Amino acid sequence: MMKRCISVLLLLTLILTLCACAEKEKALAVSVGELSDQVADAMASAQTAEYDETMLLDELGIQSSMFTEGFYKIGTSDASVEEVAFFKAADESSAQQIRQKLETRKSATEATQKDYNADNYAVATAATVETEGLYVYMVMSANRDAVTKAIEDNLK
Amino acid sequence: MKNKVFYIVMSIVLVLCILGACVTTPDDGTSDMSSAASRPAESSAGSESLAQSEAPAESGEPSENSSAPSEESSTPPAESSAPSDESSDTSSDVSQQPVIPPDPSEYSDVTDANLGSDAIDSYFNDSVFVGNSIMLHYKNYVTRRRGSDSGFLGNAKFHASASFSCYNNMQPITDSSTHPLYQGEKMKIEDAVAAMGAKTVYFSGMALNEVGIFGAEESARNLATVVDAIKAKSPDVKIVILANTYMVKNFNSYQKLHNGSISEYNNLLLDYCNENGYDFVDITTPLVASGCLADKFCTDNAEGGSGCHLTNDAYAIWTAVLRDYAKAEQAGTYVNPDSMPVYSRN
Repeated sequence: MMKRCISVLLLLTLILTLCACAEKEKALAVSVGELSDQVADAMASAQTAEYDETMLLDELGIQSSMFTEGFYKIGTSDASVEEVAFFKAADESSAQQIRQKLETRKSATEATQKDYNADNYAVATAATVETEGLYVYMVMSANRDAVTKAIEDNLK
Repeated sequence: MKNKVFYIVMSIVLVLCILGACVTTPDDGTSDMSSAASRPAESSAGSESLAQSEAPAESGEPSENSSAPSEESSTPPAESSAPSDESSDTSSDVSQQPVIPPDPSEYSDVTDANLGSDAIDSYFNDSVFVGNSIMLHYKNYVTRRRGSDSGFLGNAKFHASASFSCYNNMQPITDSSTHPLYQGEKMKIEDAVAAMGAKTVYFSGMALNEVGIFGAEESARNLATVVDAIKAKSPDVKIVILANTYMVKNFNSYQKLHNGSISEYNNLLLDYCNENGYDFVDITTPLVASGCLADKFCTDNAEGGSGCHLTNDAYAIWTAVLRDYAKAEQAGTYVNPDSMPVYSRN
């Protein structure tokens, strides 16, 4: 009898533990294209452009095999610094690599703007690089909060 | 004894269950991995526009310190390479002889809105454009144009960053250095050119981050030193020097960095090119009005700006000049200008 009680208790503990510790994977509520449009609307620059796979490799060292979908947008209206990256990595290792590349991009931008343009330097230093599961994104923008909200509202 | 063993076994099972439940498992690709539309190469419809934008930027002033430049008056070292210009007139591939040096009036109607595609852009394949923030923003301009015209300026690459200069290129690469990134790594110009396998280097003078500190002559020597480094690692690469752009009238009053020193620098670079057989392309005179960068071509003419960054229309003119250069080169008719205009400080 005692053994049965203990077995049942252990079984319940197992079930409860599985429920408590299981982490819900993040998922994008819209398509990447739709998110890209929302991000563009939130960016400070009136004109934006996107890096293609060649530029992602040339500029950041991000290979196309590292991600399954994503975009890298830049502001092109004026001399302001504005770059927004959003990727779904192919796996955890790729997510780490992408994050490292984005952090390198951020620090390099800080270095070039530090003694050059105070406003751009402030934008670069305030930029964020985040990882949510396999999703990795960087927001370097004067409208950082609005752009970040556009991403986080769709990443649930 | 049996009960003791049972309790021990159950405790181990319990611990293992808790540990196992808290370990997250990798995603095995529940998203769409085959959709080409989600690749960055497919730009979203709403974000690409050829609409003209001239919003002024709140940029800082160009870097300039009060240290005295070198007083040496020697000209940049000459190399023994033979001139590569040809004077044969084989213009069958062009419908109209380009005007060399560029007559500003030839480009007065060129705008970002009316600049279309041109098959000559393939001429710029396997090339790299090198420079500072002025070139960085040209890279952004070209990137935007490629959103709707993938062959815009061929597959030319860029190696440019804000605050960059020939002097900065010669300094060690550190976390705080301003060397541009190539494939995610900071890289000197000569190393990037070699890594890219570029066949042509379009080298901007980068005067704005250098002439105000070192003066025109030493800045020209610094450029020559960097070109030597490029040629040492890529002996067969073609060097094309691009004239440096100027300051708007409101910003043409700095002690050392002004349109007088910039035009002096441009003339030194032209001499250097003529001595070494390099092409020199004047992408800047078409943007000048009354000895200064025309206000309409500047994005940061307001207080707090730099008075030197260019609009999309200015970059459209750059592209038109470069295309005319390419056509003349293909026809074998290109010659360097006899001289560059000489301007002065306000």
